[in-house]
Amino acid sequence: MKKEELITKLKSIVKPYIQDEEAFNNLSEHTTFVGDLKINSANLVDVILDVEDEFDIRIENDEMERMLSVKAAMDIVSSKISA
Amino acid sequence: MIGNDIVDLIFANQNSRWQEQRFLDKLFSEEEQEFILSNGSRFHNIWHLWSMKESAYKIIARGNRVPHFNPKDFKCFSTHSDKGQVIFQNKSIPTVTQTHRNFIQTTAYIKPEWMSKVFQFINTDYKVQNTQSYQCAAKSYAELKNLSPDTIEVIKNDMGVPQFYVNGNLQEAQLSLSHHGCFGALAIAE
Repeated sequence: MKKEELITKLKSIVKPYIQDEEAFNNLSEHTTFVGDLKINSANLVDVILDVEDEFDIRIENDEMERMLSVKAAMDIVSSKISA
Repeated sequence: MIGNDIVDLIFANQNSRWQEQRFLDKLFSEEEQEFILSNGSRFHNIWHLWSMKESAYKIIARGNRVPHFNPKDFKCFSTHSDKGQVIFQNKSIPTVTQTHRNFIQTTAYIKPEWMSKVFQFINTDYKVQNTQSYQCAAKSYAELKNLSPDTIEVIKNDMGVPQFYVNGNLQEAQLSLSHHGCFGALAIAE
């Protein structure tokens, strides 16, 4: 999957949970879920489950622990779908 | 050290996949899941334990620049009572949880001198809520210290931790803020 396609899919996944529109509109690889998008920590697990469903993958606890930015999510998803 | 977390129950009911087994598996140990499913209050139990974990996480992670999402490393005990314990590695952190019809709030603390307060937001805009939280924190600290609210400012340090200033002087008291949906909460430790 191309990088741009991956970012677009992640962007639509996080959309229901974001609380900072400006950061969302400027979303890039470097955007963080909590710090930038202001996603409430209570919704982080929903983001993880939505990512699992969208890409038909399973994310382990040690991966979930660091999946707090667009870049980290891209790395984890890429490693799973290319495996 | 102080940590505080609030869950808006109406918001959580609509905006979360809490009914799914996979949701439970990502957040809770087998023992915790047994408790969650034990008494017909699955929804309340989930958010009770979540707020315990999150409030304890805020003590552990205070000032950490890189956040972690490791709820299973925080293990909840004494969950049948309002007064619980969260164990993280070799640390035991006491918690107090209050359950209301519309919210659940937990304060985690190290020293017993603390206060907490729940408030309702005028709207759901993040920036408006942020400003309102800071105002509420300043007012609570003013009452606690018998000071005029005008003398108090709440400013985040460069690690993202909000701190009290009185007439420009940094105070030792610690502040933890939380918000979810329509509710905010603060906890102050001396």
